[in-house]
Amino acid sequence: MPRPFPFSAIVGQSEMKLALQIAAVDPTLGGVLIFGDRGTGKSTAIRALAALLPPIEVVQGCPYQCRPSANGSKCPHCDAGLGSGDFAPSRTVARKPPPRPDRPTASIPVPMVDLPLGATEDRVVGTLDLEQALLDGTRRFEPGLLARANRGFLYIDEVNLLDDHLVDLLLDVAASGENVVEREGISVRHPARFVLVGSGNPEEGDLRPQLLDRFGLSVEVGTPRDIEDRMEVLRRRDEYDRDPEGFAKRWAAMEGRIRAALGRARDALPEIAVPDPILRRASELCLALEIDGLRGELTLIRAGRALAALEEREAMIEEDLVRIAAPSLRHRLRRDPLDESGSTTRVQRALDELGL
Amino acid sequence: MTGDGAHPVPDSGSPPLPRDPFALAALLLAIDPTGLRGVVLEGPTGPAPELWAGRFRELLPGRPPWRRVPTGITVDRLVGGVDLAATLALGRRVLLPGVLAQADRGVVVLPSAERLPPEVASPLLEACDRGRIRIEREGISDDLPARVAVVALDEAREGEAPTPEALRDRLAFLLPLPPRWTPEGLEGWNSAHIGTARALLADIELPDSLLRQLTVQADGPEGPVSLRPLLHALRAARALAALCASNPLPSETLARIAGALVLSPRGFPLPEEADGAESEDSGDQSSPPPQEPDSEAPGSEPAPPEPATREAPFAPPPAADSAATPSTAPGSDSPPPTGSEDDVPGSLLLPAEIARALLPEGLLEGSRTRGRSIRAAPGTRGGGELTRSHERGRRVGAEAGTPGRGRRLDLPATLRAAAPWQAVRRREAGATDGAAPIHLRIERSDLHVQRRVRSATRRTIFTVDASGSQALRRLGEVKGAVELLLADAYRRREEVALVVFRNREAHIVLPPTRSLTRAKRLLRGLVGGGGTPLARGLETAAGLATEATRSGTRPRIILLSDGRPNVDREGRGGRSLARSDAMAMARHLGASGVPLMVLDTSARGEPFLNELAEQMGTRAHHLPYADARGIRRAVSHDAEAHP
Repeated sequence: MPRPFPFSAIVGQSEMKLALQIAAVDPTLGGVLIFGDRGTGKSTAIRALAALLPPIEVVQGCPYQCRPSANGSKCPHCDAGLGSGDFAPSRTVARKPPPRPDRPTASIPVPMVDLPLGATEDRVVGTLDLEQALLDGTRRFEPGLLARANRGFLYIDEVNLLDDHLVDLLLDVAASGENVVEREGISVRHPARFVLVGSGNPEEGDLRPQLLDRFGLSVEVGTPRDIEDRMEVLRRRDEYDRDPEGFAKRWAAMEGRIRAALGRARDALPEIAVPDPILRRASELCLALEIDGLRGELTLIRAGRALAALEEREAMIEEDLVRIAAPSLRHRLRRDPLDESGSTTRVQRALDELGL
Repeated sequence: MTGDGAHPVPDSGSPPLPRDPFALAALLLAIDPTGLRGVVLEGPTGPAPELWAGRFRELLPGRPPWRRVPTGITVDRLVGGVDLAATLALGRRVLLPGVLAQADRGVVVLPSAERLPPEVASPLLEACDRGRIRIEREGISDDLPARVAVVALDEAREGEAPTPEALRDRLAFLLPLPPRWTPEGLEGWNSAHIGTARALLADIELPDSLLRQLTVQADGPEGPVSLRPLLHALRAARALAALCASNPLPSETLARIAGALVLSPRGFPLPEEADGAESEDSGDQSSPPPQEPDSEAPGSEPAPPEPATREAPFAPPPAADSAATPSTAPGSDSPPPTGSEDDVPGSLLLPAEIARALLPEGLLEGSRTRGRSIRAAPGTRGGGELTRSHERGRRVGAEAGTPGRGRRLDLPATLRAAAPWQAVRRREAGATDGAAPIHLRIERSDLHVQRRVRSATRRTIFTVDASGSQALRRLGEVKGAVELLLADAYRRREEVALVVFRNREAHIVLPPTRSLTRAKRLLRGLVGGGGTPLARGLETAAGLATEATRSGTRPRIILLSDGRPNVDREGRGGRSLARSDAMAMARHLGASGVPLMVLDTSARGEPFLNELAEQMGTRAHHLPYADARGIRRAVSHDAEAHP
């Protein structure tokens, strides 16, 4: 596999880079949607991010990358304690978890799973393992992309063009954190918690509002306008294309710094305080923008905490709120096609009115 | 550049650098096919694209894979899928790599690229971006190398949308190949020359000044080009430097040629123009077509070989001033002009000549006509617009299920599902009935049904009278209605187009789209006023309707007018001719069976519109204070009447 372009070598695009880092610090945030011009390095940034994350500890051989310490994870592999995933067709998976400590663990890179537009449903949700079925007649589940993405990232390029039936399926799983499979005589449920990352060009079609709302953060990217910036993008890209290994080596130190910061932020996240005045401000902002539901406020707070953690503060401050307001809220605004101003402007206007 | 005799150079007997841009593009693409990614050859079907492709193929060293992608290709053939025969034989799933993987390190040829459906475009884009193709289909999961160069043949006619912008953006060259093109310019060139240049490619260093020159060129009045073409221009310059390693060209010339080949056809002319023709030019260029007060009809632009091109705003004056004198080449970081100019073979001594040679033919006509249409209406339909409508009623896949209730059996998918089980079933069956394993054993759980794109796309063609005093207000409201319709178009698979007629012309201001973002951008700053060429407007709308029907989309036309035509089909003034022409068009439309709706926006109701509507087999709705929401409502009601 070709070595990914280093995250730190991406020129500009600070909002996109920040949003991706925040989503990595707090995987419960709901992922990131990146919409914008062609050739702005959307895919590049997402693939680069995976390389930055610290490896995760998993139960060895578990197709769902279960955390060794997690009990009752509803994992058919670990809960069954068989290490093989064997089970009869309609048997329910709920079993008493076996003792854990003796289970061998492994360290693997954070899963970064691509969902190609042409993927068929059976590969996404998983299907019957044919070879096993043919070999000894047992029905065994062959996990799909959703299983592979558990505890990692699921990346959909051109998410706005994804087939409706796959979108529905993803919505279900993203909401429940669990993939329930009933097909080909197989009955399985397994954990599928992943950070959903989507990218696309809005000129090729809009995203369904239901899916839009699932994303924690949404970022708009544009082609850099500054000549020097553009030249720098080209210089680096060209350098990378001609010698990926050497390029990666030159950026290794920068990458290491970001990696360490991400690790520290993840550790610090549970301790980050959110003072009451900030909470109130977040509610006021959502009210001013007429955002339905609590998702907006929750995202503001979570993203703000992750940002504070990244910048090594002990508590979220007003500035954090301002900085994450647009990416947290712009895709939740009520659509009014007759309003000429873009959603980013509307968020900014609301911030100004609140004196933020 | 390091082309100074240290390397094997094309011997002095190597043919002269072609003046013909199409020939030169073939050479450069042959040198760096995976870097430059490919070419879009624009032009009617005919011998020229095949000649180009054939000649290009001969230039490639080592006979790399060369695969043609038939227009109706299915995703599993492109990406890869279950090998039915092998699966049946072996009793386990066997992967049959798709065309993209089979063409690894080679070329895929894409006929009718303008009609690329999104599910086919997407894997192509992935191969362009990653050089690999991921297969997640029918129980098979794999990731295979697919480093391909794409030769896309774009046969879109005037008014039709070109190859999806997402693909155009990823291929280095967009070439409007003239129908009578011949590969003369490539005479003498062969794969050995290309091989030599390829070997040099990795060592070519380009100065920063070249990068700057290209970056400056790629910045137009409406903003800079996407970064991909810019990167391609850089790669083209490098390939060119490798090609001319024995007689290095000044970096400025490299940049000019690469810029002319890669950036000019995208509407970013060489910078000199900006000096020479700034005033006329920028005016023309910065105004999107909807604003052009009296530009020629789209129909008068199609033929590229216009002799007038040289004077046209896009055509740069020959680069005599800067490039002719090597002394003006960038200073210290420009390559040492080793080998005096006298060493250059043939008549192509002066860099200026090369640049000039490359500029006029074809390319610039292309940048003029095409360039404008590109920037006005980037064919972004690679997304979910017209291309999606191509698949209306077409099978787009299979899912497990039992046929019946309108669901049709998908035989291949069912067989694929059944294939791996045959051995087991035979064994099981053998235990009971001992029958010879002749028949396929298909069980209920194998059954697959065809999955089709759900509801058919509908294309609503607003045809709006922008003449007279009320024009602006009417346009504003229609714009609102278009945006309201699009705001939830995702649900109903609805695409919207807007035809505006005024003065002597009708223009497709908004080509069919489902993207609100795009509509908002294109509908900015519409202008109104002038005469009323109603027949022209209807004719243009009819064209869009026909195109829709051909591609499986259901069109309908909404006419908004106050019903006082005074310009006829030929663009001549005169009330009676204008009326009879409009009537004739109305009859034609009525006979075509396209659902029509007439919204009468005049103050008191215009009897002529009633007559017109009658000819169309409908009737006129009087909507004097047509506002965006009113129009939207009327249109929705109508839609329920014509589901």
